[in-house]
Amino acid sequence: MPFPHADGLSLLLMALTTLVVGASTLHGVRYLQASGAPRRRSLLLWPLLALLWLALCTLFASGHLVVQYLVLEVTALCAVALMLLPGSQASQVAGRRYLLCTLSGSLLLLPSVAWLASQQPDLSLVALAEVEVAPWWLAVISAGLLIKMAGFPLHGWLPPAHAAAWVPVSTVHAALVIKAAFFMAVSVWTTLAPEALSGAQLLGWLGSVAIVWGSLLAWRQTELKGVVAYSTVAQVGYLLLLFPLLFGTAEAVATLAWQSTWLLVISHALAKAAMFMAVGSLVLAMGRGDLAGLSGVGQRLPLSLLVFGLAAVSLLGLPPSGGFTAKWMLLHAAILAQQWQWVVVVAVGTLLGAAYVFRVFRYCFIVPEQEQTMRVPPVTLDIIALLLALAAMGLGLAAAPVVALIGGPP
Amino acid sequence: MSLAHTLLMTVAWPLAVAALVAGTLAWRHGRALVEQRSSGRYVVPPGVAGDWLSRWRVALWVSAPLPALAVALALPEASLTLDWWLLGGEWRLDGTRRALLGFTALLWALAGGYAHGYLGGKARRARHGDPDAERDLQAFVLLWPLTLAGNLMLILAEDIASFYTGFAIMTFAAYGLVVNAGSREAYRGGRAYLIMAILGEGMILAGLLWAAASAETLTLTGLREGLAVAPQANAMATLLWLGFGVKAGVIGLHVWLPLAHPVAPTPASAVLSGAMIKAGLLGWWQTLPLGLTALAGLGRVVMVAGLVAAFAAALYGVTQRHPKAVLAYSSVSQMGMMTTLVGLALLAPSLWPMLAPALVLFAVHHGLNKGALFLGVGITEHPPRLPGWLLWLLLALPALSLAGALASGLIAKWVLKAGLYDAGWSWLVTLLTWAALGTSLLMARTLWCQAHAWQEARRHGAAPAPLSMTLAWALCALLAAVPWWLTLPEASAGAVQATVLPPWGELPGLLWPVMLGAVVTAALVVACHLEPRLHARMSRAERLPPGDLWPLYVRLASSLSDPLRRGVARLSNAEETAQDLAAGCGRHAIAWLTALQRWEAWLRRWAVPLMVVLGGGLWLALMR
Amino acid sequence: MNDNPGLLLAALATSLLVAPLIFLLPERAWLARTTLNLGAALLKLGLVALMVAGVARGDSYALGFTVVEGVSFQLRADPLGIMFAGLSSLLWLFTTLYAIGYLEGSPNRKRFFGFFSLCVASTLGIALAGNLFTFLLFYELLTLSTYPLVVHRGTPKALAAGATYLRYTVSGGVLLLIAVVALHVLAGEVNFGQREVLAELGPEHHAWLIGIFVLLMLGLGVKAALVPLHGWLPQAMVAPAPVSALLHAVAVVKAGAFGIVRVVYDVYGIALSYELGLLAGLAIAASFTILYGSLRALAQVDIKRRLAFSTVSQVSYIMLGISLFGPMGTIAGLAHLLHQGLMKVTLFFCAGNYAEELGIHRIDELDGVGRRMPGTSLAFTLGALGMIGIPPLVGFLSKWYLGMGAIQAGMPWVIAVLVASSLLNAAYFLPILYRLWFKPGPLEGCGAWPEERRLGRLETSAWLLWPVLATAAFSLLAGVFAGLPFSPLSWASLIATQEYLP
Repeated sequence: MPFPHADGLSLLLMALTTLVVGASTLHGVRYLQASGAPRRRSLLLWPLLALLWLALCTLFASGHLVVQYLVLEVTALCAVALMLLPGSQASQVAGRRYLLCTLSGSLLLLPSVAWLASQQPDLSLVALAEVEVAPWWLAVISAGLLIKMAGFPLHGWLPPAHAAAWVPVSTVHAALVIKAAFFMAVSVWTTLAPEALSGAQLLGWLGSVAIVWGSLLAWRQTELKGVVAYSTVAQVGYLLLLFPLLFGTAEAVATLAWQSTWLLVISHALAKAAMFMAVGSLVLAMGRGDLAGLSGVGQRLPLSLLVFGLAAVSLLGLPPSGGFTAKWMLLHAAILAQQWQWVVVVAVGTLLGAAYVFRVFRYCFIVPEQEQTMRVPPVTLDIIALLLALAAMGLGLAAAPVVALIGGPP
Repeated sequence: MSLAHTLLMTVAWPLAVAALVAGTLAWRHGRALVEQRSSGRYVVPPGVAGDWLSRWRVALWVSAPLPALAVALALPEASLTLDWWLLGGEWRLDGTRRALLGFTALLWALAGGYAHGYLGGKARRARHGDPDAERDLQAFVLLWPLTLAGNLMLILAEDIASFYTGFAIMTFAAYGLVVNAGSREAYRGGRAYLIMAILGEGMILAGLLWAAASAETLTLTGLREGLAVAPQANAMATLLWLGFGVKAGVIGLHVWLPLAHPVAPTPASAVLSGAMIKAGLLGWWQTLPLGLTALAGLGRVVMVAGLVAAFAAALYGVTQRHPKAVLAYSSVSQMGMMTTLVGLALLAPSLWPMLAPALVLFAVHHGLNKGALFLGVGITEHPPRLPGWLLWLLLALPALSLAGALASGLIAKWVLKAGLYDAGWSWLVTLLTWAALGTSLLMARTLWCQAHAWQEARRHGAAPAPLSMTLAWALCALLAAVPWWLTLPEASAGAVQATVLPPWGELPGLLWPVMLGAVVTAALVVACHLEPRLHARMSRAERLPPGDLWPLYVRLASSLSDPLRRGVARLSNAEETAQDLAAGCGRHAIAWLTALQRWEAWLRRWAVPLMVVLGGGLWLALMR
Repeated sequence: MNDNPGLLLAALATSLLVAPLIFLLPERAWLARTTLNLGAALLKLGLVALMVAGVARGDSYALGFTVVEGVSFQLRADPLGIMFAGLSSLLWLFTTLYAIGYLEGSPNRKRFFGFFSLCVASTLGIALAGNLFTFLLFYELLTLSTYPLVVHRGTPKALAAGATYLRYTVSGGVLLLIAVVALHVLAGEVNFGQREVLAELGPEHHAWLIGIFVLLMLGLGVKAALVPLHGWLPQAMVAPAPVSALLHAVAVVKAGAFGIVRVVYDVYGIALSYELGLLAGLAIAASFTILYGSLRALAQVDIKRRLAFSTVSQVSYIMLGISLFGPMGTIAGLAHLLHQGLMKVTLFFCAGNYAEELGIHRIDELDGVGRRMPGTSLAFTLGALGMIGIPPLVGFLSKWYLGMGAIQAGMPWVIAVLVASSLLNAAYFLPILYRLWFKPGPLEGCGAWPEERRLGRLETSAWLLWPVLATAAFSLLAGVFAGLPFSPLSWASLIATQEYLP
């Protein structure tokens, strides 16, 4: 019962969790020192992060619906607490909204899990594979999970929360927490609804809109953190494209889509974590968070900018990066399944992605009118971020062992 | 190094001279700059070129064509293969090439010596710091050997690439010689020259590519043979004929000649009209299937064009006031006669064995004599200290020869006439003879203009020509008149040698055009003196500008190019409009996107209800 | 699969590893950076030369590993790739030299040279890529690494040009990605040279193949500046002159053209492309581009803009050569790949020299420059005459083989295009030469230079002058000695022989 599901994918995700949480912790120590966060509050960060790590690992490893649900709630509560840590006005508002959203999601999850438990004694995923569920059940639990993973149009809580949170928190949240809900959604759907084709298509379309919407808004942001946060919204959209390609398609397509999505999850987690860290350094150095402050930053903080660039390359799916290889496989699956709409969506998403990423760089190349004073943050911050970003890049060419571990869909 | 490699020397030496000139100029320039490093300003040192020209190094420069001359005189038949060169070089020295090479090198050598004297004044001015003189001189000393190298290369080339290379180098380098005087007229003439030359190059390139590719060959012989059997031979040959026709002054394409020749420095005019114009003829010779097959249609056109040129140019030429313009028209007229012969060869290939040596003879004769005549123009402008009779004798010698009254002219004419009579083309002979009347008139006109110039020069006390000028000119006149080249070993004119001199009985038939020309001229001169109205009318005719059709072409071209320019402008505008439109759309889109953020706030506020709605939607979807 | 991977990796690493090193050096470390740059450029040239010799001997160099199932990363040195690699490393050396002189004293040199190295590393990767996946990898990397160079100056104009550049190239890249993936779906992995894979697909797949080909051409055509995908090129000329040289001659435009060469010869195979009627379409597109670019160039008054449109026109010669079915066309296309690089790099260097030394940007300011800067002007003259196609410069060889190829392929109308293009080239280059050499300028007392700086002891700084002279000399010598082994033409002939005589 404890780890019935410890297959390659779980192991990978656990390793990822450990890596990202570990890196965030290391980064966080220095970052909070450097940013001068109140000590009393920052002390709370470590136990919460540890709890979060434990919960996530349990989630990825467990093959039991109830366990997954419970752990997801723990994750969410930890995340809310972490979000509230800075104590600023913005973080309070955002954290409260996050709490409201995630709890209302839970309001849908709890009855559905309870109802299923009343119908079915054994809620382990292996046993559930034989069970047929009613459409409303799937709809309710999916809606609940969707709001937790910030799927369009339920993503509204995410950007303000990321913008207001401490960098190590945003890092972990964007990289892992929302993926947890996605993980659970995938395991529910693959176990209980392998035939729900039209629903899968709908999720695919939601994902497409998320890609476009998230990228467009990311493009229009004036704050650096806003760009990164909305890019997460768009990235969740890519993840949702798994559903239409996984269900009701040939095995080759399903395998490709499956592998590509998890590869994307991993590379996105690494890249997004690195990006948040880089942004953290930049904001710290500039003393302001808007894009216009970036002019002339390249000379002072080349390393942070480099990290941002590498992470952006992976997010955009430009080679050679994990994001690229994942996108390649996703396109391969879509073309193989002759579902051209996703090809178009991915293409548009890439272009819009390039638009918002290069908008950031554009500001970096503007020659500043007067020399700004910048605090150069400790170089260890950048080195941790660089390692993560390099890992995301390396995943592009060394994808073979990772993909082998991911394996095929259940 | 085999003997054949001396062929390489003939071209390499002028190139080396050009390189040496360039190197010296660059070095002196650079050193002067380094010396004035401290001043912080950039001042071109004065007199670099003038200095260069005046020292003994000028011998190098004049020596440029000498290897070619030596090769033409002494080297046995040879061929040279150069694997590394372009598409694979193949150079050859055979009968025709020897004759052309010899006379070309000779003319260039003499004109080079002449140029030394001709440019003496400029060199002095350059040494005294005149920047314009300095610039002109630099261009001249550099481009002269370069042009020569091109001219020699195209003669020796047997492979198409070398031939075209030589042709192109010669054409483009000669532009600098044409505009060397730097005046407005020079640039006008230069523009006419260059534009026509480029059009010609384009047609040549098209013809060469088409024909060579169809025949899958890299040599001129292969090209000719391929053209003889190619299905589209007429089109290819037309392109080639027109392309080389620009250089050879085919009527209609000749307009640059009377514009460029009067403005170019006199030695340059001499080689332009004497040697380079023959490159066009050689082009035809080397590329058209002469003697291999009949291209009757094209042949007729070529013949007609040639005859029209022979007459029209003579008629127009006599109205010109500048002796060089008259000479240029004479060149057009003479080349018209040669064009006619080429056309005849296209029409009746069986005549080629007879025509070929005659054409070579004609070309060489015309080249040297025309060179001498051009050089003479400079002499009358700066009369040397020679007794008048000698001066005028030397001036008249090439004129008479060209008109066919003397020496080489007489022989050339006789050879042609005899051959054509034998082949039954007597009407052509008649026409050509009448054309010779035109030549006589042109020659008379030239001398007349020169006499005016001479008187003018004497009245103003113009500085006498330096010795080198006089010497080169006198030598040229003498060598042109004496048909010495017939004594060359295995001259192509093998057939000619037997019938070198016309029998006495034929002389009246050969000489009457000259006589008639002299009579007409004399009559006109007398009549003008007696009848002022006639004189006035003649003077009006003298106002006809050189370059006859050129203004028409300019107008035509501008009326064609204006729509083109407008079209291009419209293209640019269209692209800019499209960009503006795109930018406008972009702005709109961005405004719209900014508005989108309102919806984002709405989504944020209603997230929970939306979740419920979404659940419902999913349910509906799943029900299906 | 892995033969002599060391040399390949070393060649790639020379510039790839230099990039981070340069980033690590402080901005002030001029000497160290210059040494590093030049050392890497020389080392790479040496390594590539070794490979050229090796490939000529028949050695093979390959390196590969699987990325995911059915997709592998392949580096390979075949004659075609090594030809492009040779070009890029040779011109990189000169461009580096030039850039060192050009950027002397300007800010952000570290960034510039870092991305510069990265850019050349990508170009080398493109040259040595063994399949479309690897090609795509480096192709996109090239886009990324050139953007900072285009916007280097940071002015609004440069930023706008950079945005346009990205708009075009990223869109092209996405199309290319889709096309390559679709090809994978259709036929699995196709290594360059495995032409039989696509040729053996049945006729039912032909519609697919045509569609994918069009997508590939659209994707590659952006960088190769096929009209109407050329819009970025004239705008990108706001970049510093060495970058323009890089864009126009060494890397970007060439990468597009090289990609088209690869697709036609090594993926589809010339026979299949011909059979599917793709070559005719490409020929028409290329011809249109040639004429359009020349016409637009006529109307430009800015030197670099005129050169940019000339690039649009000239690069399509490569495509035209490829689209002529037959060995001659192949030779023409491949040789022009090198020839155009040599000539264009010269011309852009010259334009840069005029701008740096005298502040000249417009054509009507060029009066009499020939006397002030004879070396540069001589180089410009050689480049321009070469572009027109005057022998014995290299441009003539390209035109000659194009003409031969046109007849061989049964498309004599191409000759008309060639001649028209030559005339247009003459029409927009000769007036410049005329101004340079024959018009009186400030040295004769007419007007003044816009902004004269005395950068060096000679006509300009030695860093700027010698690379120009060297590339000009190369474009002359490569023409004169075209018959020697290892000349661009001979090498192109070697490849063409392999293509047609398997």
